[in-house]
Amino acid sequence: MRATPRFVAHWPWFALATVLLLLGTASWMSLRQNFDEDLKLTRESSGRELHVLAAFISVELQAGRYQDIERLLRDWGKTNSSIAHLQLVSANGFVLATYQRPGNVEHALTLEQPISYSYRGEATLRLRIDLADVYRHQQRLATEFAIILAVGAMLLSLLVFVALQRQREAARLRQRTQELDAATHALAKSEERLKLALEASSDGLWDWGVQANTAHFSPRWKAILGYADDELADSFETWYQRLHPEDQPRARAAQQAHFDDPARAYEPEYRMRHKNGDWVWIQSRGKVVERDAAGRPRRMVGTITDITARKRAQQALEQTEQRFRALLENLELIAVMLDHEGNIILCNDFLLRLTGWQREEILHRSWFDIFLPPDIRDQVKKSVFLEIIAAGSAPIYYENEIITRSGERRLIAWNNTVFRDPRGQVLSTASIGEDITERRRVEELKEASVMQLHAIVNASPVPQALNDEHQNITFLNPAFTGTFGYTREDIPTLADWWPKAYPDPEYRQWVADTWQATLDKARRDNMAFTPIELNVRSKDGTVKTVLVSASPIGKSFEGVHLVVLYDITERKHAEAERERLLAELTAANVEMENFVYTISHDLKSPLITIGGFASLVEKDIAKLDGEAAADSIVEIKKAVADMQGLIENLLQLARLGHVAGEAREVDINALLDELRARCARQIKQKHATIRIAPDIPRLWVDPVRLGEVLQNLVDNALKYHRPGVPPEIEIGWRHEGEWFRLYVRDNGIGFKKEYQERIFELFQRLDSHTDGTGVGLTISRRIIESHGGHLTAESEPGQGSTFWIALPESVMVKQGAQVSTRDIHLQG
Amino acid sequence: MDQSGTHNKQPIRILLVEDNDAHVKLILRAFKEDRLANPVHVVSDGEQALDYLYRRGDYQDPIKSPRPDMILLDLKLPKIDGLEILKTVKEDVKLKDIPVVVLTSSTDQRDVHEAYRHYVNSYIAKPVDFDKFRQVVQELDYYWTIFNTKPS
Repeated sequence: MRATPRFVAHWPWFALATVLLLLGTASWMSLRQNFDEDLKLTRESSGRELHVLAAFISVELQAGRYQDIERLLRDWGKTNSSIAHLQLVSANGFVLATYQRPGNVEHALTLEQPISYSYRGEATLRLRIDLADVYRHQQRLATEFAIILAVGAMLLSLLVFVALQRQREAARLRQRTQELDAATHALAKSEERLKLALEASSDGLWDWGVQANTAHFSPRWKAILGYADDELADSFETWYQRLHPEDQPRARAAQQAHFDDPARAYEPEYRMRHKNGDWVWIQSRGKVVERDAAGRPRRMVGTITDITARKRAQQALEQTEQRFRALLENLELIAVMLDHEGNIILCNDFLLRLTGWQREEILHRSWFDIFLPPDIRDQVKKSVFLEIIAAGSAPIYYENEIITRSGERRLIAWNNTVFRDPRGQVLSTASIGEDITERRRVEELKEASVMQLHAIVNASPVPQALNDEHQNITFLNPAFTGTFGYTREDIPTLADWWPKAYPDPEYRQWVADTWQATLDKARRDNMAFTPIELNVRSKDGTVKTVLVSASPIGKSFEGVHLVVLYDITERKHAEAERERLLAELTAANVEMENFVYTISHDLKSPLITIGGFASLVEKDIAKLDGEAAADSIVEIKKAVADMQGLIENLLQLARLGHVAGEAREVDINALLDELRARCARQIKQKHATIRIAPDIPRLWVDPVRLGEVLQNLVDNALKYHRPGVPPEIEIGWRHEGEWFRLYVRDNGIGFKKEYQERIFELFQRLDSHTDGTGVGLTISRRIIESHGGHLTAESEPGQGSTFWIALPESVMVKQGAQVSTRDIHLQG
Repeated sequence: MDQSGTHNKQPIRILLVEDNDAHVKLILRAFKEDRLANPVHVVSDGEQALDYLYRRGDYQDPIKSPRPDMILLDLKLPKIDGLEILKTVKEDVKLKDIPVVVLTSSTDQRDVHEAYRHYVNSYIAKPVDFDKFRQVVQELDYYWTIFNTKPS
């Protein structure tokens, strides 16, 4: 650091002093000027009274303006002017009023004389200055100024002095610091050397005149006990008094031993009282260096070392070890150490409790001979233990059985560690073993029960799924995959299952709601899940009706749970089928009842006739009226014939039932040709014409039954012809939409539209005088219905009738290209 | 009733609706045996019966087809059922006063019940024995007396 900047650092002080000096000068100059002006004014005046004209107060005193004068005077009173008197003088020179400036400027000016208000006109305010006042004032100012100047000059010189002083001091300090730095460096070096030279640099030295009982202690010796060099006296008592009472005998004994036999080193450890009252652990080492002629020690020197920290660490270690040992003993774990040959070095009480051995019975004996069951002894020793020794590392975890004194086997899970010598050779192994016999048994039981569950679920014919708490499907039994087709790859989670099983979002929502409601109910009902019926879509798209139930494997449905889906599709179908059959049966019963009713009525009719006429024959015979009797007998015979016809038809109807006969491919044209041949006699009699479409397709029907129907229709057409009009019969076909239609049309008497259904009823006839039982059309309709078709009629009285046989188009036998609907070519 | 005054002067006219010719013969014979000379008009199906009653078709001439004083009705008839005719007669203000006696071979309770439900005046099952037929005809006479003496 150089001097100049340090001097410059004091510039504010110099600036301040300079400014003060300048200010003082300027103020003095201004005062001097004021003083000069006042003096000038004074010189202009004559005598002791000076009359000064002040233009600014040359005011016209008019009525009411005296306030201006008052204000002027008041202001004047507050000023620091040296002018002390005022006179108000009229233009003519009359002194109107005189004012004296009060001593205290703070006081309001009081008018000594009131202004005469009578005066009107110009007035002049004259100032009278007392010269003595002025001089006094000037002198005071000059004195003040001189003081200011003096102070300023002193201040400035002081500052200059101080600045110079400080600069010098700084230079001196700098030099001293450099010297000190050098010294410190040198000291550090020598200290280090010292440290290196003397290992016991922190040792305190002592020197004891044994016989003279003098002692000398180094400052360090005292410092170890917390004292300054001059605080402790150099005497044997200084040491002995501070020795811990418990340690005194030991220390003395050590001394004595060394005195008696120099070969026995004096190295006692004892406690000494520190200045602050604590005990300091000391390791002392000493040696007798002088003996008298008798060999008694004369002088002994030595060192003391503060080993408190080491002692504390040692104690802590002992405590830790103790705790650890207590822990080891209290643990329900085996702790055992083996040497490299497998002999027991150490074991804890738990091992003894577990196996029933006493410690002394097993210590230093082979672990393997005592504790390993013979069947695995060699294997464990050779393959495990000796491997560990050879490899120098142990498998962290190992399980094997041990045998107790009473021969019981326990399964132990081991955690192993190895201890090595510095060369890396294994000295011993330490193992902590846990008796897992019970736990393993429980685990095995659990595993077995899980396997049982799986076996049960697997063997079950009912589809079942296991879900875990994360909504994963963890297991599907074969019945599940068999029923629904899904495997676990298809539906690993419930999120995959839902959209597949319930593709309709609305239904899915319903299922979700129902499921939730059922779960809630189950939670309230002690986990009893009320099965719900759901429609589940299988992988192949078929929908199965299932009864779904769930059961938690654990305590709640949130954990692993089993879902059972009982397929009731077949049952549902069977139920529906049963309903259908029941309805059919009911219908059949009703039909049967009607049938019986009709039969009973119609069979009674001829009986009534026979009965009635038989009675008449009796009477006729009694009257010997042969003609009448013969007539009655004719009626009876007719009734019998009627009855026979009825019964035959009924039998036919009964045989017919609902069953269709054997269907085969039938050439309808051939069938009709045969029919025509059978009716040849009737046709000839009635001069009838039958026209048959030549290209009626071959049909897959029961030829006998269809032949009966056609026969019946043709018979009717021939029977119900108009009197005198030869029957004209036309047989044709149409293929309309899904239906194949055959028709038989005639030009006969026809019937009213309202009877077109009635004619098919059993025993219904429109004309009681024509032969017939009213069964033919009933039978025909049944036959067509058994072919899956229907038989209908349309007619108008006198317009002929058309009977339509409609059959499903499936009865048509495919034969080349066909026009679905076409007009029929008729032939005579 | 306008007929009540003429009861003694003119024999009551009977419309027999019966499709079975043999039964017609038996009934007419019974009338004859009982020496009842009542005019009996026979129609053989339901359609004819209604045509007669409403003077339609072949029955437009009131001389040939006078209004019957009593109808003997079989239930099982071609075209239109006897019960249908009964219903039509009893629902027609002009015809419902004509007593209707059902004479049928059916003894089925359903028929009996239906007939009475449609206000039949009497229901008689056709007997197998002719003498019983005669009794029926005699009873008809009796019924007639009762029907006609009924206050209107």
